[in-house]
Amino acid sequence: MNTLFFNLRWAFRSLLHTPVFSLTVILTLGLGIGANTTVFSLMERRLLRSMSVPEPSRLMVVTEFKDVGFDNLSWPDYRDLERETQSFSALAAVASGSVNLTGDGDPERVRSGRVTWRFFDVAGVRPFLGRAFTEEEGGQNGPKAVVLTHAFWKRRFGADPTLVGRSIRLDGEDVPVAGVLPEGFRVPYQVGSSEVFVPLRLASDQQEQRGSHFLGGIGRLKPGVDPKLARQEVNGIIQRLAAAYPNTNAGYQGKVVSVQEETTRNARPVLFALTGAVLFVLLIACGNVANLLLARSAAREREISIRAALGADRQQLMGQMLAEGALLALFGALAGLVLARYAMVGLLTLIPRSPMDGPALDGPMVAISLATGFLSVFLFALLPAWQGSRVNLESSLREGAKGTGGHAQKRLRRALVTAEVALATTLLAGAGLMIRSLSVLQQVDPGFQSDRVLTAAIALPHAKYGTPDLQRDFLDRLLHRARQSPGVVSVAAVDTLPLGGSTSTSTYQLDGQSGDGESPHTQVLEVTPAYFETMGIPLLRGRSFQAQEGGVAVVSAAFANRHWPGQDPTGHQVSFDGSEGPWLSIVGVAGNVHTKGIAQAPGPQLYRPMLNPAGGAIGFFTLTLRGDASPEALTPGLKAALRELDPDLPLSQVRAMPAIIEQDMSEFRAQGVLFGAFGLVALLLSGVGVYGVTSFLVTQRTREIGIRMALGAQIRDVLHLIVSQGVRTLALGLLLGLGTALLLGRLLQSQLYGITPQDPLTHLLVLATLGFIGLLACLIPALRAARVDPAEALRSE
Amino acid sequence: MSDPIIHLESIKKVFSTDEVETHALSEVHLDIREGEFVSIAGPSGCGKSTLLSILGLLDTPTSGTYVLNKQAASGLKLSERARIRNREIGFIFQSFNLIGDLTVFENVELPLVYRGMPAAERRTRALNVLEDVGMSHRARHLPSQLSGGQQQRVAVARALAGKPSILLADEPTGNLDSANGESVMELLKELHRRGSTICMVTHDTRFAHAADRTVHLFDGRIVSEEEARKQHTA
Repeated sequence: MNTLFFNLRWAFRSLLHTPVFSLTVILTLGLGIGANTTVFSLMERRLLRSMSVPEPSRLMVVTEFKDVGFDNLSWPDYRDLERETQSFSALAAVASGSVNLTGDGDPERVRSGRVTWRFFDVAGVRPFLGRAFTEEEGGQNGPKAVVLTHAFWKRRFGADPTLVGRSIRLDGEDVPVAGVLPEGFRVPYQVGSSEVFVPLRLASDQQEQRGSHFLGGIGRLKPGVDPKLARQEVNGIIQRLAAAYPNTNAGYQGKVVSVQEETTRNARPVLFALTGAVLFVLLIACGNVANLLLARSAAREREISIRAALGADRQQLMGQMLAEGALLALFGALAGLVLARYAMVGLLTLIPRSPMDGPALDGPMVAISLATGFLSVFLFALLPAWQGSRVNLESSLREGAKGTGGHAQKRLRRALVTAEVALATTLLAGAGLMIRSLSVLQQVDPGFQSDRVLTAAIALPHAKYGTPDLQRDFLDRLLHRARQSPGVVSVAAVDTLPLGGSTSTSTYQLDGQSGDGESPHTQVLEVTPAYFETMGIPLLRGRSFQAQEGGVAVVSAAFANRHWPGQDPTGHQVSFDGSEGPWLSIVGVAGNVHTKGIAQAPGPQLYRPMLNPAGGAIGFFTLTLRGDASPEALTPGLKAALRELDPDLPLSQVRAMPAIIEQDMSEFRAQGVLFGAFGLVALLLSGVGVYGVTSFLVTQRTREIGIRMALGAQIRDVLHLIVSQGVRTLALGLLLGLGTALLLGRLLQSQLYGITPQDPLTHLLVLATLGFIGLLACLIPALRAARVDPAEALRSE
Repeated sequence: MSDPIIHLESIKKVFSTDEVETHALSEVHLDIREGEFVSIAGPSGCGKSTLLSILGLLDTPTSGTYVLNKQAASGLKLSERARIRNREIGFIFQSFNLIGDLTVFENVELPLVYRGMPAAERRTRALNVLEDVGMSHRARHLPSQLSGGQQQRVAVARALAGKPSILLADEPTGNLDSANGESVMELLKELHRRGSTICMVTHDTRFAHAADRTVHLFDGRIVSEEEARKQHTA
């Protein structure tokens, strides 16, 4: 303890006496630790903190799937599953939605979770105030009820404890508040952003259509039940349904995975790739610091020898050097924490409304930073301490002896730089691939003209707009009124906005096909006539809808190519209700639109007229307005138009279309920025590493260079002597790094768009950039060596 | 007669490089008894420093027997050698070898820290030896703030702090002007008078003769030993 105190005191003083060295090391470590703290905090928030329920490992997504992206349940399938399964203590169907809250204060569109009555049993939570839904409330015609999240209760009702039992006005109806959930409650699957929960109520057709897959399924495993057995059981049920209802269910399989896995699946590959990237940054930083410490211990060889001569054993010598390492790591961790704090602020700006919201600096971040700092001590300080404590006492205590660190240290320093260059090459290649991918993605045509388009969502409360006729009439009047607003060129409505986060798919049948066998899927959108014009979606053939027209459809190019490649599909018919119809005539072909995401290839799409007099309910729609200038300028006019028609209706999600595209690409951009930043840090650090080692080499060989020059060596000979050694180290590092990059690149495959992990241009650019920086880092000390005054060098010993 | 503190028998040291073997020491026999002041003299390259390094356990002989304070010094582990250096030997180097980042006081207490001595005892001991060498008033200074002679006095204090069995001084006046050299030699003589055992390497005959006994080395061998009053050829 005594010695430890002394070691720390000496170490502190010694670091104060060499401020340039100390600051260089602290900043280098700060970069490495900061990068790790940022990414590990991101992982902790995204993977661990996203769900706050008891025993989250027992919480399972229980659903069916056919193709990737089509893994929702239909209501009849859910009911069968609920009845037959034995593996779960509770099962619930969930869907996201939204409701209009009116009454006290401004009308507000509130995100709602529509859930069957046992949802809170599945989640394993009891309300903090009041109660959960009763079975009666869960019935399709049961009494109304709402359960509020703690945050919403606080925000909107000022945490009023008397609210439970009273009613609030949702969608124009009084709904009794049954309970308030505990603070922090969150189940990220489908209803993760809900502010209120209401019982799942479905239209009569939704209750019957087995082919309409739009519900999420979630279940709590019975204690002791193996998820594999549950998966087998659910799959068996789904297979039986597929055999019983081949028209709608053929090809479906059961799926049981933990909610945690399901909701973080998309984020995992990139988070793991980022983890790899920051570990590389940390290793490179530690390599640099280890090199600096080796050089320092070589320079301090004499001091170390004196200590040894006075009786310090190797353990004590290493202890002192490790104490310096620990102090450096501590300050590095603090610097890293500061860097990480600003990086998190930047990230939260880059990824709006991300599930990792929260303060930019918190307890786990501090813990991660200190843990990374602690780990880094082993990475950078142990080897130099071990090497430094191996001194030749007899020679280094002699008058005039000069610390060189010996051949072993030189080899170690070169090996460290080779490893640094290799790591930097791999990391830069990964960063290059991500940035190239982002650049390709930015060139993707979304299939519509986003500029000058404003979008806003409106939900029509059933109490006031209870029939499709009333809804259509309101929508028609709203479109007409909004069209007259200043600056509006055209107005339309769509039920699911492209890149809006949700899509609706259905199975269908074409004319001339038998109803047997597997039915194909398509995304279905309901739109008003001016939709294609407003969104700037090209009509490739035929026409759009006319006002009040029914029994017609416009299909996308992908839909047309699937069934009639190279032919005109207009005149063909499509049915969503089997061979009995009703049949929709195809009247036009529109261009393909990226509806699920810019990075996802558009699938087949079919548009139906929303204002069809024989059509169904229009409970929720998104208005799209094309203006003659900035889309944001259209907002006041739209609000005024809506207020004129119904002052109780809130506008929600008022966003310009370019902003929606931006948000869709925000995660890609954040990944690109992060990888780019880490790549730059790696480039900088490895350049400094090569420079440091070459520079140290020059210092050590000053006398030798003087002798060579005295013997007639030219400047080019000296340059060659120094640069050739550096280039060998550099080349070996580049080669090793390239090999690793090609091997590890496959791990990034799922995150790349439009390029392969072996993209030759990216790898060539990386080699050229690193090679250039490395060469420069060799050349600067070599030029210094070439300016050595032979007389001066020969005098210096 | 008491047992010798240092007993060397047939000590040989050979340095081997590629194809050349250099015999730095050959058949060296030497005893140093408690309270003796022995100087080792000889021309450059005769093996004086090598002999001192072996005596100080900084280096190991190629062959021969070395007994330090009744304990065989051969075959010791590195940690044991460090412990013996700390407890039995006090070093005084030609170039002082004080640690620049530490104050005078900290330099002196350093061997005691490695010994694990409690802080209060360490402080008393360090201040006492600094008082002995006349440097207590400079305890808070850094070595760079002292003259060469003062630095060597601090080095002597550091060597004395651990109350070693023997002081090994390697050309202790080599980096000093004559006045400071004389002063340091006076200090060593005073320590000797108070009972310290000293072994000093020097090529300066004036100072070599200050010792009770002078051992002359030439080409790695002891060629003569000369006592203060009488002389015999080895």
